[in-house]
Amino acid sequence: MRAAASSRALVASASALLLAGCGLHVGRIDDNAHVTPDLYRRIALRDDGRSEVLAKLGPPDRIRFTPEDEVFEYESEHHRSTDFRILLPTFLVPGPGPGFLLGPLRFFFDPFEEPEEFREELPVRFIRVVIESLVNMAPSSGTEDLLTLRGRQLRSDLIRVVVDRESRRVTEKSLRLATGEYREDTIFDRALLQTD
Amino acid sequence: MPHPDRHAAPGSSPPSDTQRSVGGRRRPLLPILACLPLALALQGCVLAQTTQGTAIGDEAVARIVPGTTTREGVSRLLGAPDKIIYSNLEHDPLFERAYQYERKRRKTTFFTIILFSTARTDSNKDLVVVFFDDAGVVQDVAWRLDMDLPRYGAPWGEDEPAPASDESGGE
Repeated sequence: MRAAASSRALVASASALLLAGCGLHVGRIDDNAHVTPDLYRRIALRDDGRSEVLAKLGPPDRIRFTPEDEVFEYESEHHRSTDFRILLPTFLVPGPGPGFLLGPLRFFFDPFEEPEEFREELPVRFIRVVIESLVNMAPSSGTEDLLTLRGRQLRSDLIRVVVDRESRRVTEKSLRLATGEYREDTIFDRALLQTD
Repeated sequence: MPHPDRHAAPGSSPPSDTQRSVGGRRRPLLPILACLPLALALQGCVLAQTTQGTAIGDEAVARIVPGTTTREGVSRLLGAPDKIIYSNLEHDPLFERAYQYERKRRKTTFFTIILFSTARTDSNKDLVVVFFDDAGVVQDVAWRLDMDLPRYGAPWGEDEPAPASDESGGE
């Protein structure tokens, strides 16, 4: 009876210790959500001038004057994330490189697959396992590292319109709809580009 | 019919564990206890709002008339620009070709309960761009007043697309 109570207390303590360092985080960021392919289609190449572009698309987020052209850029960004974080004692993450835990976890969570289309819905599926030093995030003398199962989806829409400074007509327009799953080497895995 | 607790006969049974008698009135403790989990859950709830930039008045923007208003007039109406866009021609590298005014609002909803947390950040802006001709007179003006579109809320669920702001345009 006493032994059973002790083992229950032990399991409860161990669970509490483990859970204290865990956390599931779901995040979403939308910035400047106004760029749509429909807006892009409204611009008539060689017919529209600067005034028409401004009337149809509004003020550009970025303006650049080159010796020949005026370049207008309209941009919006969306970000979805799901993180499952586990606090690990440093001795479980030996050496300067990735710890031995990463191997098996990456087998499950780092599939070499084509990235998915950007979806508005949450949660995002985990596509990466990383171990970060907690010291980098919050200066401390702690001896913990953070193991994170990370899911990220990004979308960046950009309309770019080029107006010739002499003729004052639109000479070029392009639409970039970039989506991707944030990985170490590249942010956007695919970009759909329309150019006229 | 009188409430049995209010008119309890002398010598009746004492109040239960979930009741306390204060100044002769008994207050139920159960609702307070029931609120505790709610209070615990809400202590990790944060609504934050940041606004950057100078306020842009739509009336002031409406008073900018292409072909008439000068660069100085624009500065009087809207103040100093947040950004000056210079011409890039070789002979006038520092000619002020356009003024940009921007006021941005960011709304963040953060919620955490024990091991689970969510965050949503929604931001948009008021933006005015005024173009000048070689004589420093307004050639074009465009504006978008979307600073009030961001909202608080949970991160999941699909939003209906943001309506195109009525308060935008270009001349």
